[in-house]
Amino acid sequence: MNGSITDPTDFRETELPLFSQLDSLLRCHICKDFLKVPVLTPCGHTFCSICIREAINKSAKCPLCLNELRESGLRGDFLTGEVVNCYQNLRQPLLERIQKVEEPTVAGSETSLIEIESDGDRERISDIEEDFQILATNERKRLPGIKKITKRPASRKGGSKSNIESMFKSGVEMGECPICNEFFPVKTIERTHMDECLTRQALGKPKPKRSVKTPFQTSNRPSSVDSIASNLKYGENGAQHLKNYLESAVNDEKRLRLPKLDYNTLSLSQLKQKLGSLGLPSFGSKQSLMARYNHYEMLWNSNFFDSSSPVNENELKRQLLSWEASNNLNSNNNNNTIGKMITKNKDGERTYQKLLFDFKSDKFKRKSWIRLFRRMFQTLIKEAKSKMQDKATEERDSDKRSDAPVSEDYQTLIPQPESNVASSTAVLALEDAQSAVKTPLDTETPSIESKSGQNPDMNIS
Amino acid sequence: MASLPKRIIKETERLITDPVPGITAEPHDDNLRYFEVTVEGPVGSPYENGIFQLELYLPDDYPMEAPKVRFLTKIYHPNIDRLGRICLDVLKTNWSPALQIRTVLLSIQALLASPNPNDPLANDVAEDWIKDEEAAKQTAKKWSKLYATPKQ
Ligand SMILES: [Zn+2]
Ligand SMILES: [Zn+2]
Ligand SMILES: [Zn+2]
Repeated sequence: MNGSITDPTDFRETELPLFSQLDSLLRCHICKDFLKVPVLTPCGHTFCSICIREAINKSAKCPLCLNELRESGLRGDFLTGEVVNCYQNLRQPLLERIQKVEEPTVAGSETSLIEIESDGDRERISDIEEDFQILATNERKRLPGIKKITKRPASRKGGSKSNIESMFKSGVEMGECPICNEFFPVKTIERTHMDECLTRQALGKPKPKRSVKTPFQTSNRPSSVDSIASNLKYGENGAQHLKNYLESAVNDEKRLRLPKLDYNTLSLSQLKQKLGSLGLPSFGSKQSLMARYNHYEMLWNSNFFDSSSPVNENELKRQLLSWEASNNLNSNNNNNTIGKMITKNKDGERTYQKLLFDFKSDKFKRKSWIRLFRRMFQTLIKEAKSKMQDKATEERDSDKRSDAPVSEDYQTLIPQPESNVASSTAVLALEDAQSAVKTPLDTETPSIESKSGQNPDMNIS
Repeated sequence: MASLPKRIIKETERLITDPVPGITAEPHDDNLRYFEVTVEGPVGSPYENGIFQLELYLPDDYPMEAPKVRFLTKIYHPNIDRLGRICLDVLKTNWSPALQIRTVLLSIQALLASPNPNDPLANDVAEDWIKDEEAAKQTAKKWSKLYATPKQ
């Protein structure tokens, strides 16, 4: 596999080229990657929380339909989020299974509800159609500019009718299995199927031959969704996505939304105070302070209001730090930045520059980054300790730290080992599919050897 | 130092493996945000048979900010001025981060097919266009032959 860049066109040469449309639908129209912490706009469009917030900061319009849009109108879309996560897990095995070169598998030879279009050229056309469509939709909102761009050919009909009719005739009460989403007689689901299905998933075995299926009568569920959720014995990956979705809920407003600040009426010291009260560093020019607040506000609101599995404040601060470093926010004239602190050490300098470059060139390696920072965090911990002349036992208890009062430094950024690993909703758009993330960092010994950034697995091109 | 987000890498890859008919776009060796572009004049327009060179640059803020595009080949068109700057809404007020290099280039090709003298950038050309459309089209054709004909 050539790195983490995937594209809907990957499905073109497969048995089921129509998947390229599904693949497209599950992507954000801003970053063109799979939706990450998706949010729904009032106009009915879906984007990554961070992408759309950035776009709104530039122009308060929906990128797709150009309707007016405010950040306060965004709502987290948990279902789409889990659908995307689930699909991402399935994507590679699916691609392998429907490659054309291989002999047709059992699954491939079954009649499918999806109308198979094997004509690659038609997919090609529909791709450009999509480009035109975005332009055309936007065009309705615009001043007279380009006139007619193109006529869209009559839309194609998806799906087929065959199975549905036969279902009605059979008269069996059908229900949808919440795990595999296939349709079975309700009694079968209740009695045997769900157990089978869970076991099968836990063991990683393929599906058995299906019984009849229908897109109708989904309401005939064996019991309420909640009780299904609580009764499921989740396998490693089995029903995790379903569980995530069923357990997700809107934030109970324990936390406040961070407001936009009016920097014209805010003095430098007020701004510093504001950052301090959030536990953020207050060094740097007014411009970097503004940028710091803006980015943190975005991370914060996205995390606590859009994400179905929010991370804690320390993780948010770590993300802010990575962002600052990668944007060289303070590098020009300030000796007090993290970057500068690290680069005081010669080996550190090289590693830091390399990581910074990799970060920018999309080869960012999180493990090395954190390893590099760990040394610094430890120094900070030592300093903090000696300053406080306090009990050493507090060091590990970093959860309480998140609510700690004003900090002049990044002392509050000391990462907790768990949060390094578990940021499933990490907003750093660059790191998503990189395998490095998955390795638990606890086992790493702190080291800033300069070769740390050179693993071949991080190369994309 | 150039940062290259995944989105740009992807767009580039697709532009090369899956080019839009009549349009080519290739990134510069030294700067992957700078593209050398050619657009074929649309069939049926005064620019037919011409091949127009353009340059396209993706600013640091892309896709939050529109790409910068300019004609390098001289062209007689009411919405394109002497310096090759283009008056096109998607490049300015109507830019949206959902658009991409392909869509921008398609729009430019569409602009060649249907000039809009009522929203001009090149005022003199627009005046000619409104006064005598046929004569203006003849001039456009002449310029295309003169400046936009590929050398062998
Ligand atoms: Zn996105
Ligand atoms: Zn919209
Ligand atoms: Zn099942």
